[in-house]
Amino acid sequence: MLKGNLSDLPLLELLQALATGSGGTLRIQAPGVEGAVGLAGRRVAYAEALGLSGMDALILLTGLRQGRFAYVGEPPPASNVEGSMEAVLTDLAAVADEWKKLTHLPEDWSRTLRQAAGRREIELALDELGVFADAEGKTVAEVLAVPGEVLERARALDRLLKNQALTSLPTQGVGPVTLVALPYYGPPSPVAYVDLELYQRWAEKIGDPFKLRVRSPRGMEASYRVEPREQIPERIMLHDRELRKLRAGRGTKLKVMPEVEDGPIKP
Amino acid sequence: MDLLSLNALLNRYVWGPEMMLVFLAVGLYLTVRTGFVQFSKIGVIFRETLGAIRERALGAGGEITPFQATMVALGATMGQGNLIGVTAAILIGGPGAIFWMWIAGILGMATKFAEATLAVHFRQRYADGSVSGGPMFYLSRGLPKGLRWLGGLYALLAALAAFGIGNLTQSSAMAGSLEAAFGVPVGLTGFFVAVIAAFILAGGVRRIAAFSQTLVPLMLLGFLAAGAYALVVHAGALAGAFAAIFQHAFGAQAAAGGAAGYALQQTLKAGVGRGIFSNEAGLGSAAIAHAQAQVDHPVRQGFWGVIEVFLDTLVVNTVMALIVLASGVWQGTKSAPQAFVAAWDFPGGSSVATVVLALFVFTTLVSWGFYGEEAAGFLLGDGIRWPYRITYIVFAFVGALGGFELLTAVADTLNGLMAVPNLLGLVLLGGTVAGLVRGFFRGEPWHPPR
Repeated sequence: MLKGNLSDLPLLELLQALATGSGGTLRIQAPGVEGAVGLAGRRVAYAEALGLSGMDALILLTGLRQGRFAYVGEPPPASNVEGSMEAVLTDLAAVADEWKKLTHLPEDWSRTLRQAAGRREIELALDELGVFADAEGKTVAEVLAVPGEVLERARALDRLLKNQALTSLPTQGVGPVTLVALPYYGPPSPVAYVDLELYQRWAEKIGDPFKLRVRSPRGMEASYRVEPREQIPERIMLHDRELRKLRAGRGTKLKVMPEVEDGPIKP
Repeated sequence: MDLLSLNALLNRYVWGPEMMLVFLAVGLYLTVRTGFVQFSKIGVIFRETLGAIRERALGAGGEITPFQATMVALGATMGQGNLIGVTAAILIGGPGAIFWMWIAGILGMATKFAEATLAVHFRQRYADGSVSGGPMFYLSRGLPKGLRWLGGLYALLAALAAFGIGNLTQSSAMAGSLEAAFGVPVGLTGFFVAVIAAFILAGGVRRIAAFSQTLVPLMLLGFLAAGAYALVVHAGALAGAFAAIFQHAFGAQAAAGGAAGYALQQTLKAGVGRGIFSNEAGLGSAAIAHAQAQVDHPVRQGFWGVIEVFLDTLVVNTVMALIVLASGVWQGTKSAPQAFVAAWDFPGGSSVATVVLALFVFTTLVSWGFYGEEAAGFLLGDGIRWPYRITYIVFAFVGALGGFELLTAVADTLNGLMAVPNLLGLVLLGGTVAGLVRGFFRGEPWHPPR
C-alpha cells in the first residue's frame, strides 16, 4: 500500500506515477474533504468527493494542497470518468495551473466562511454574489463542491477572500464532537441546548451566536440555534420532535459540528 | 399493655386494610396531580428509560446513573414478597387477587414517580460532589417549618426498620431455603452473606450500584427465563389461569350471599396488599436510591420510578402468579413457602426456585443496608456510617441463625410506620410534583431549591 501526503506529492503527479500500474483505489483524506480516485486498465475510471463524481470530483481533488492519501489494491466500485489517461492528465494539468493562481484560498478547506464584519460597500460580480450569498457558515470545501462549477466558484471565492468580503475561520478544535441526545418536551422549538461549559468554549473560538449542525447515525442532518444549559455534560438536548425527525432518541450518539450563524453583516 | 401486644396492635393498623386505603387514595391523588403520568406519558417513559440505558455512564449532578439507581431500588424492592408473597396472596385471596394487585400497582406507579421525583428535587449536595436524598430530605426540606420533624422521624424509622425488613428477615429466609434445598448449614450461609455484604457495603453507593447494575438485571432475566420455561411446561393451563384472574376478581369463586362478600374482601385485601407492599410505593425507601441518580431534571428519574413498579408488580409478580395458577398448587393445602417451591414442578425446578429466592433476598439485604445507612447518616452525621455498616453486617450473620422473632416483628411494624410520614409528605408536596411535571413538559430547565 502506498501512503503519503498531497503536500509532498500533488494529485496530478501521483496519478502520473500510478498510471503504469495495474489499478486500484486512491483514498484521500484532507481537512473538510474525503474522496477517492479509482484506476483500472491504465486509466482513471472513477472519482468521487463530497458528493461530486467523475471529472467534477477530480477537479476538486486536484485543488487540494494538503491531505493524506493511501493507494490500495481495491478495484474502483464503478466507472464515471471518460477518456484516456493521457486526456485526463492533460485536462488536470490545466486545472492544476488554475488552482495555483488562487493564492487566497486557504490550504485548510475545513475552515468556516463568515461574512466580514463592518458595513462597507463592495462591488461584486454576479458569480461572486452567488458564492457570497451561499458561503456564510459553510466550510470552504462545502462552498466549492457544486457540480459543474468547482473552478468557477473557487475563483469567485478566492476574489471574495482577497477583497475581504469573506473571511475564513478555523474550525479545528471545535468539532465535530459526539454528543448524546437528550430530549426535551413542550412547544416545538428549533433550539438545541449544550452544556454551559462546552457552549462557552465554542463561543470563545468561533464567536457568539453560532449554530449547530447535527448528524444522526442514519446520516440525517439538521441545523439548530444553540443555547447553553447547565448540568448536561456530553449531551445535546433537542426537542423530542426534532429528535424523531432525525430518527434518533434519548441515548443516540449524534455528531455535532458548530458553525457560524447565518445572518447579515454586523454593523 | 406489653410491648408484644402494642406491637401487634400497631402492626395490624400499619399493614391493615385502613392503611391500604390510604395508600390507594394517595396513589389516586398523585395520579390526578401528575396528569395521569403513568398513562398519558407511558410512551415517553419507555423511550426515556430505554434510551437512558444506552447512555451508560453519562450523567450529571449525582453519584450513579439513573439505571444504576433504579437497579439498587429494584434490588431492594424485589424480594420474598414477589415470590412467596404473591403465592400467599393467591392462597388467601384466590386468583382474583392478582387483578387487584395490578390495579394497586398501577396507582403505585404515580406514588413511586412522585417519590423519585421529589428525592432528586430535594436532595442534598455536598462539596465533594456526593449527594444524599430520600423522604427524610424531602420531608425536612420541602414541608412547612412545623412539619419538618417528619424527616427526622422517617429517618429514625428507616434506620431501625432496615435491620428487620432488609436484614434479619432476608438473611433468615435465605439460610432457611438453602438449608432445606441443599442442606447448607445456616451458619455457613450467614457467614458468606455477611462477608459479601460487607465487601459491597464498604464500597459505598458506587460499589452498591456496580453490584446492583450487574446482578439485578441478571437475576431478573434469570427469573423470567426460568418463569417462561415453567409457563411453557404448563402452557395448556395458561389461558385458564388468565381467565381465573378475571373471573375471580369480584369474588366469583365464593358461595352466594355473605360468603361471597367475605371472599371478595379477602381477594381485595390480598391483592391490593401485594400491589402496594411488594413494590414499596408509599414506603419511600426506594427514593433513597433514586436520589443518587445523575439526571438533569427530577422528572426523568420519576420515570424510572414508574418502570420500577412496572417491572416489580406487573412483570415479576404477574409471572410468579401465572406459575402458581397454571401449576395448580394454589388449590392444594400447602403453606405459601411450600406452594412457592412446588409451583416450579419441572426437573430441577425446586433448585431454581431456591436460587431465585436466595438472589432476590440478597439484593434486598444489600440495598436496605444502604437505605439504613443513609437514614442513620441523616440523623447522626457521616460518623455513624461505619458503625452502622458493621452492626448491619453482624445482624446479617446472626439473622441467618434465626430466633429473632420479636426484633423482626418490631422492625416490621417500624417498616410499616415509615409510610405514615411519607404518605403525608407526598400529599403535601403533590403541588411541587405537579409543578415539576408541568415544567418538564414545557421544556423548562430544573432549578433545585436552595
